Amino acid sequence: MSETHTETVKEHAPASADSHPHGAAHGPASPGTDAGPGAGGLSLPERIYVVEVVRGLAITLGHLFRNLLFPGRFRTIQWPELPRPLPQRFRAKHRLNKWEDGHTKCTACMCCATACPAGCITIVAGEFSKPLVKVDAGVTKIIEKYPTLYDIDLLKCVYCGFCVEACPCDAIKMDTGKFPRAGYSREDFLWQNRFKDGLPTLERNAAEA
Amino acid sequence: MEVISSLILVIGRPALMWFLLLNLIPLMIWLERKGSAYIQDRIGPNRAHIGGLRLAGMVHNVADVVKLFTKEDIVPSHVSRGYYIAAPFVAMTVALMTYAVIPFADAVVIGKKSFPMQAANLSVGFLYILAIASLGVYAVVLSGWASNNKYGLLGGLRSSAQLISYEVSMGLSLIGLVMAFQTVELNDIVRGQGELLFGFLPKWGIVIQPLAFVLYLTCAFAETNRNPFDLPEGESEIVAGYHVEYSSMKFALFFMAEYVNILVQGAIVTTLFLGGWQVPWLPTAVLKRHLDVVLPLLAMGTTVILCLSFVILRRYDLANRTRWQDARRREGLWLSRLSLAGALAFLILSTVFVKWPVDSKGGWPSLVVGMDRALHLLPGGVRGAIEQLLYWKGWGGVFTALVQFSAFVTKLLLVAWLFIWVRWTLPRFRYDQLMKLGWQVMLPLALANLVVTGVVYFVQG
Ligand code: SF4
Ligand code: SF4
Repeated sequence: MSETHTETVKEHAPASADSHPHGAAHGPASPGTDAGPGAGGLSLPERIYVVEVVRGLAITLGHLFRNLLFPGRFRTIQWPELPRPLPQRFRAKHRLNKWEDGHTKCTACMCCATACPAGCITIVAGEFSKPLVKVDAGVTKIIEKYPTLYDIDLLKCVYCGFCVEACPCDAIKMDTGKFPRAGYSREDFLWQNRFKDGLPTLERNAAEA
Repeated sequence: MEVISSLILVIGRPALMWFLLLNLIPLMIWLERKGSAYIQDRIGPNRAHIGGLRLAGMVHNVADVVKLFTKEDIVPSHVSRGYYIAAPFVAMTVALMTYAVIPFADAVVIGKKSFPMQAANLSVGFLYILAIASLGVYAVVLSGWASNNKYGLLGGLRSSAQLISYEVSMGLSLIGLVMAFQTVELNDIVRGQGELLFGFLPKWGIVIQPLAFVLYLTCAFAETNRNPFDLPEGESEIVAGYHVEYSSMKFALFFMAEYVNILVQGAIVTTLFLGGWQVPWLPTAVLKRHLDVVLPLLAMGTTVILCLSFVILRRYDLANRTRWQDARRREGLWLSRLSLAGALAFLILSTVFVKWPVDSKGGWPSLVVGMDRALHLLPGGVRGAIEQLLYWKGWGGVFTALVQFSAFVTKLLLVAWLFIWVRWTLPRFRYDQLMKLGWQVMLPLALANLVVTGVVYFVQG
């Protein structure tokens, strides 16, 4: 028992001494001099430093030439010219879904605004002059309401996707693959939609990607 | 002719030096940015463009200049105004002054006069360099003190301590060279380096004094406040050190002075250790005699390089045509055309050089096909002037100087690249390490080098 114990201690001692110089307290050994406690784990060529300097220079020059000769190796993505491929279910900027005839699918039920944790959806409901009749998957729907105003403040939005899940009409989607890029004012990040009789009259988003 | 050429040379030499130095600054900044990027597996500047021309990020400098010029030039209320404003000017002036004594070609002999190719031909050039180099610290100390800012002051203090420590070994490491070449005149030192050692090795300073070279180079890093000796700036510790209170062009002056200092140190290292303007194995006389071979060869070499760059740029153009949706897409096309035109120009130039008797010993060769006939169409006076210009006796000297000048600039840029390369490789020293290295390693080594050199030359007699 005691033997193994001392052995483990012996084995551990040099290891801990080795790891010390890498600690925050002692930096790399001072060049060519005895750096005191910090120099414990360094061999002679490492302490002379010039050799290590040359090795370091060789490494950096190697990187330089590799990148010069094989520019394809760069991991940099040339954004925004070359957009990076998005994951399939990426939650991007919102889109309001439409019927084939251009009427918005949104019925201004406020489910999304209620579900939204950021409280960034503003909806003002309006009434159709003549109810819209739609047949969806064999079910006839009579739609009376539509949003005259549907705004999302994209600066407040946390892109959680709850609005999409909450929508009973499949009216809001987050599948545009776009996200706001840059704007000069807060208003630039306001995604504004206006409708008249269910038909879009205005869509604005200055900071559009 | 004599008068004009003398005038050109007298004004031209300092002008050329300034032109070279000031125009190399953007190149250095570009090298630093792009070099560091490639060393770190990044792409580096590639956005700023003029009409689609980015020149691999070179145009970024233009954006920088515009930015620095248009920035508000703030003089904080708590500084000592006079010294605060003077400091950046001192930095730049001192940096530019050192260059005056660096010879960039062998003396050009025109007629009976000999023109040393340096702005000021001081017989104590060597001492002048050491004297001016130590003036540089004043800019740093002045700015640090006048800024009335603790970081600035710390930067100034560190810098003065560092420069004073390393100046000792710097001077000592150079004395070995003075022993070897028996002179303190820079042009003579360079001429001495044209000789051969054992019949094949150029007798460059680096060959006969290798230890002094390493020591001097280390001191040069310290003198220019560059990594690994950039404690006066030390971003992580004292923000930006001595220039923390400076903005706009005042900061730019410090920034440029740093690069001028690198170039100056590069020039000194080149002059003292790398043979200066010497083309290896081609002393001035030999070079001048064989200009009719050397010049066409150089022009042909340039043609080949330009053709290669055409091929590369063409491939780049084809690969990127569809990538950029703006003016940048034209870049590859323009550049490839430019390089092709350049290649053609140099091809023509090489044929001209083959036939041009730059040493004025030929008869009446037609330089380019039909040129003599075209000359005959001109009125007599103009033709006479052109002929006089073409067969002027000084061309040989001028072209020799140009070839040597290119050799000098090539070496200078290589050393300057070394400065950048080292900066992106080594970590910064700790302050105690810096002092230990300076006083306990460099100084004894420099002294030992001095003693050994002295003993060797004493024994040799
Ligand atoms: S994604 Fe989330 S935060 Fe954004 S609008 Fe929809 S529910 Fe609100
Ligand atoms: S988007 Fe969907 S959840 Fe939101 S108001 Fe319109 S129909 Fe209701």
